[in-house]
Amino acid sequence: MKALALVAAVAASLALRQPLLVILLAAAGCVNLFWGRGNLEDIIEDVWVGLDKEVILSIPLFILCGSVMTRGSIAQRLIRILAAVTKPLPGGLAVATILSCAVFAAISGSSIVTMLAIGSIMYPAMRQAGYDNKFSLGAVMSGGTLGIIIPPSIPMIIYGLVTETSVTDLFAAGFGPGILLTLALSAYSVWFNWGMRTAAFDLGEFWLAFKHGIWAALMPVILLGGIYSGYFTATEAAAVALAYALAVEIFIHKELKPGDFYNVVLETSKLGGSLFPLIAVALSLNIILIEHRVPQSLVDFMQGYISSPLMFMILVNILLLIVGCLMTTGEAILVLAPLLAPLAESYGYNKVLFGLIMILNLEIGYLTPPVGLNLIVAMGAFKQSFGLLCKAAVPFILIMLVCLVIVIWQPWIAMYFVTGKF
Amino acid sequence: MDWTSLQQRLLHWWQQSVSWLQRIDWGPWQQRLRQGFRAAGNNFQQSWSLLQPKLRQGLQRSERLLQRVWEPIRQRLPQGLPAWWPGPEPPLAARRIVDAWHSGECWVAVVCFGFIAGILILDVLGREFLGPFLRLIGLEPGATGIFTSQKLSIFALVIGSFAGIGIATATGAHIVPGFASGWVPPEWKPIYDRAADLLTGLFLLGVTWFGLKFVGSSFKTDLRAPVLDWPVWPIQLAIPLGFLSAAGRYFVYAAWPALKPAPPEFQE
Repeated sequence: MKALALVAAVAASLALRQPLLVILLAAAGCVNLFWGRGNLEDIIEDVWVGLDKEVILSIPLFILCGSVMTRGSIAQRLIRILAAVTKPLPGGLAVATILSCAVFAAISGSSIVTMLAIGSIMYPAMRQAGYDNKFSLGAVMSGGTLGIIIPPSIPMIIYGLVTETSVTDLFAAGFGPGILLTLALSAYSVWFNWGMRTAAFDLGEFWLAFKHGIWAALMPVILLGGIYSGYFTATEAAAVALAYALAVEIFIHKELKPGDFYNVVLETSKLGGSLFPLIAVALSLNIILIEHRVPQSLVDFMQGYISSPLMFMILVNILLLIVGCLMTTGEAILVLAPLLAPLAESYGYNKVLFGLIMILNLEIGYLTPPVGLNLIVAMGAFKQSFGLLCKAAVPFILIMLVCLVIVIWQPWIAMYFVTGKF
Repeated sequence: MDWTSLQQRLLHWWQQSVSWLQRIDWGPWQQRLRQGFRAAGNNFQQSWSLLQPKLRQGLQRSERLLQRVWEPIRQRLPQGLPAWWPGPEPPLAARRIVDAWHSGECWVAVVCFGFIAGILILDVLGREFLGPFLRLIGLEPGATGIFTSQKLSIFALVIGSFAGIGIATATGAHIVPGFASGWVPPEWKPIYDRAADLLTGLFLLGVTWFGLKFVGSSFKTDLRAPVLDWPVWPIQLAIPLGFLSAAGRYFVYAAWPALKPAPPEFQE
């Protein structure tokens, strides 16, 4: 009966179009009243405790860093370098799009920012060069999704926070699947555009592009190198990256004025204002669930029905793919990760690996209707119909699904950079 | 190996692998795969065209049934807002107050997030670069990081984030799950949205009350931050104040929906 009341409260909040913050607070309140001590100020105390974590500081820094770097002409500079390298390949411009997205993803932790920054330049360029419209749209949209799998990634930090998993390990684990996806999408681009005209590699052009873009290209090296070498924690790396981004944009590229910094910080505040209280409330709900052994009961219940880890993995993947169609990545991780991660652990899957699998699934959700964010944003940005964008995404979704299966089948692809073992 | 020969070798490998790839005849493979896709697409389209009319019929039937049950109830419900309820157009004073309120919160958040960025950058640069550099040139600088920088940043994060609840409310940046948005008939939307805002405001007012109770208990027990030894209640006060600010805004939106920001096109 109490459980029914909880479900009814959540359904009523959904129907009344309440913000996720209110829904989570209402759910935490119901759980505390029905099964806890009934002391509602405990929720606020948990919110306070939830925010008192060092790693949470990396989120505003990465958001700030991404905002600083994406204000100027970083995207153009990266594209110039990569277009010069991929010129001799058939479909070189498409490969350059995917590679630019991958490199840009290592600066920005967001899928939409990556798609818009690269897509707004590369989509018209590909069309002008005679590339197929559907293919060009698919390449730009799917390339954008690399933003959340290649570190730094905001969804990875949120997953790390709500499941108490090392964010550094999650970042390291994102590297392998990121490379796999980049290679697979690039290979498809070459194959699809096999008949396209190619040009010889021009060392002079490459050198010029390299000279203009070296400062931007060094950013991922500093950021990821610092984290993977173990020299910096995620928060320290974020601070160094931000200092570097500010120095490059103010003194070298001269594209950021002190006045612009107010707007950059304000953008971060807006995002932080919607994200941090939400994370804090989700963490508070998490504490209540753990106190009442809810994940443990769920594990016992599931193990009564499903004994095979493979079956569990198949079912979870189907669930996550459906969830990815209906919810955004942040919502899905905040709501589902605290429940699914202990389950995956009980079936023998590492929490870091499971986090990666979860994010890979939700990454596909960026391309699936009705809530595929890259589809929705691309509709406005590239002025194309939703139906056409959905069709354009299909081959790329299939490739991403194949990559997901490969990562599940060969977990070392993700875990090699964490454990150093095959 | 010197740089030029490495460069030449890399270039040679690159050209060789490209020419090797170009020698393969991908045409038949591509054609076969395209044919397969086309056949699968045709099959899907055929089955869908068979299924579609049946689905449409079922939907129309259930819609008719729902209307038959719902219509008498709907006619008995109040059809509009009471006369005393404020109209959709806000007075100028309300707009000015809301704008000033928003700008105040923006400054608080900007100062807090700017402080986090500044103090953490200085701490890391001091610890990882300045300290080792000074030691390298034979000086012994002692601790070069900023003492308790992370704790101070967490405090700034709490204040900035809860000021941010108001900013997110004012700019429509809160994450709102959208899949239940079609559950309400469109003609009800204006009244329904105002009722929902009123409810959100009341709920957040309740949360503010419990927040204040929590801060009060910290004040009474003189809870202090470890290491810094500062009383934490002034920082904790940001939590109920953030909720109060958001609650106030939702009340304003319920009264004058014109002040409510349009929902964003997308939320990541």
